[in-house]
Amino acid sequence: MNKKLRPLHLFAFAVALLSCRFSLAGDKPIDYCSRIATFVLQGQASLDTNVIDIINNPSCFFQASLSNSSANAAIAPARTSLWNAFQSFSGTQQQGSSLSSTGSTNAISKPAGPTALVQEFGGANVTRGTSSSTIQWSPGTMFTNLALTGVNYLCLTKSEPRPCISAGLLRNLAPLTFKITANTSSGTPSMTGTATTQPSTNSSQQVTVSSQGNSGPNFGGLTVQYSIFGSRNRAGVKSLTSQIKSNSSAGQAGTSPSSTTSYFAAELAKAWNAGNALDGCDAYVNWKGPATKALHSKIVAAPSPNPDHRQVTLLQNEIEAQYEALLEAMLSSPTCQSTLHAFGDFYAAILEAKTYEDFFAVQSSSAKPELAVEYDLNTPQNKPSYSSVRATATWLFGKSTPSVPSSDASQKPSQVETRQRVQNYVKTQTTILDQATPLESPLTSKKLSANAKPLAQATAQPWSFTLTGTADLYNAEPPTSIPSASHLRDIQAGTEIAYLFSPSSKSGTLRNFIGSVTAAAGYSYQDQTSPAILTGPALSDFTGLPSSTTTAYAKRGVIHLGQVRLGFGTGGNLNFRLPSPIRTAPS
Amino acid sequence: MAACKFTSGLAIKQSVLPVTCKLQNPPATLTVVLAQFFDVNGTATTLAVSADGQSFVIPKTIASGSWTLEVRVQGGPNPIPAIHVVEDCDASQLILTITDPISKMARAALAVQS
Repeated sequence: MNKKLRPLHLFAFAVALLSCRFSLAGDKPIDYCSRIATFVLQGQASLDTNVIDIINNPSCFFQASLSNSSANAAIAPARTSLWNAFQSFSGTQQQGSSLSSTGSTNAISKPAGPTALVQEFGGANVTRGTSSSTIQWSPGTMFTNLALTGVNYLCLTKSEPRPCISAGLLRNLAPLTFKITANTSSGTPSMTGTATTQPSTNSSQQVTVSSQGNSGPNFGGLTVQYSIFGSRNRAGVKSLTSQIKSNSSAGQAGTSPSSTTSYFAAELAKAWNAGNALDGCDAYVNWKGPATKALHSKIVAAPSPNPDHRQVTLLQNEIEAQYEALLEAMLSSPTCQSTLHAFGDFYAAILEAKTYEDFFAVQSSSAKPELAVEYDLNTPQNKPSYSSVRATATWLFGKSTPSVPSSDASQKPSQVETRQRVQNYVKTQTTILDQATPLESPLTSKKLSANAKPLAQATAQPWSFTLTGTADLYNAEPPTSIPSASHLRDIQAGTEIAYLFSPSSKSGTLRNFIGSVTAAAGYSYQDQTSPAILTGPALSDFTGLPSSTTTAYAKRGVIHLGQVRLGFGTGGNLNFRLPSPIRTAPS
Repeated sequence: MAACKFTSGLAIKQSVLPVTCKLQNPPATLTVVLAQFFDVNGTATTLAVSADGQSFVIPKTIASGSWTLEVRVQGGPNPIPAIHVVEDCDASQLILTITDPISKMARAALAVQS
């Protein structure tokens, strides 16, 4: 009797596991205005310097603008700035383009790299190979982009703005990738073969097989992949959603590298500009006195380490109401227009600095191995369907955190080059964002993408090392007439080391035209513990088999495969935005 | 420890500079990454931060006049708690408080008197 492993049960188990993770996560987004109200009631902060002086409380001031789309648009290109800034710090597509040995030119499969999150726009991603196409979908990527581009906002509080996407959901979805592979070649028989032994009346016969390619198109397989440790996608989302513990290495020993200070200096300079502009904004000048009085009226108790929740809510509501009133007044006041613009710059500078700080977290995570588990449902033609369970560990390394503007003449040429690229990026990014053009503008979006590409190349980790282990299991017990056949089809192990050559600013026209080039060497080992089984109409093409044959099997054995690969280009996004961007991959 | 040089109104005599300001009971890994003095024209003077990132010095070279002190920290837990920057003196005169978890900065208006 055949024992079915039921691949869909495995899939359901994976989904249940993920659901469990979601329910355990439960991180709450920060409520900035509740925080400042609590600090004031605790006596940790003062109304005058930390609330009335809105330069010291920009996050709550921004939060209060969310209910007013005009105010929100006036002061903050915030999410697009953050999104685009982070996008620039991604690796190249090539590192993340080889997700599976199925339908890929690579012998060794890898988990999705950071590019899957930050370089794709989040829709289905089609990779075309010579004989197959793989449709890949990362739901976390799509939701992240929906959140950060403002289609659906990222939740700043538990449920505001409505509707919003929670950071916890994004973080837990980020390491998840679905792929469906379809075989696309046609016109050739899938295989030919001859009987190895003298034909008998047995329904299973041993044969010698020569593969001739696939016929199709047809369904090739389904993959569910989840990075359980060191997921770079998750690290990216953590940074983007401000939920990561800041573990910046800079400044730990008190010697902040000069490379980082330019972002922070820009933030402080924009803070001064915004504060200076506030002094000339009559709406703000007129608001300060009555707002101070109104806010003080909500503080009815002496400072306490644990203020009453109702008191916090009361003060928070008053802070938000006062900020909303201020924004309304500023929007309609001619003397406050430059102030609003200065605040837009201030928020952009804050986010640039924050993104830079968070970038260290992502960089440090990329120095750690990423461990992913993957389930594949394979339905090859003329063979029994089988399931693959794969574990993959990948290290990216070879480049330290990029430098940014510094006058340190002792830096290596590569550091200087990277520094220059970051500098150029910040300069042009600011120029584009200063136009206050929404991301929806195709021209702006194109400029931002083109702007980010050189920096992405400059900051990509050049080396990658991958280890994989796979067990393939037949979904049904093989016929007992096949000697040594069992559920376990084969076990595989593989390793690959690759180096990414990115063009530099000194590269010539031809080199820049070619783009990134990857050199890789891989080795794969496969032990076929159960004979390869062939079924179906293809057997009629075999020589020497009796017509009663329904199943043929090949010899068991060990396969060693070595591969040296040179890949050109990084692929490119065609002009399909959400929900259907399509990427062509190098082949 | 010495007597505080700042008054409660955040004024200080130029003759008593330099003065050291420090983080008061900061969480682990939180450090000052940048402290700057801005004059009325927005020209910035970067202050020297100590090797451990816990303090900075307002130097004697600061001229009398109205200034804005801005301090940016980094690291620490997320979100950061309220971070107090105080004068390093007996009474720990409060200079400014950083509460915003995203900007991680705050400013204070200071008067340097001749």
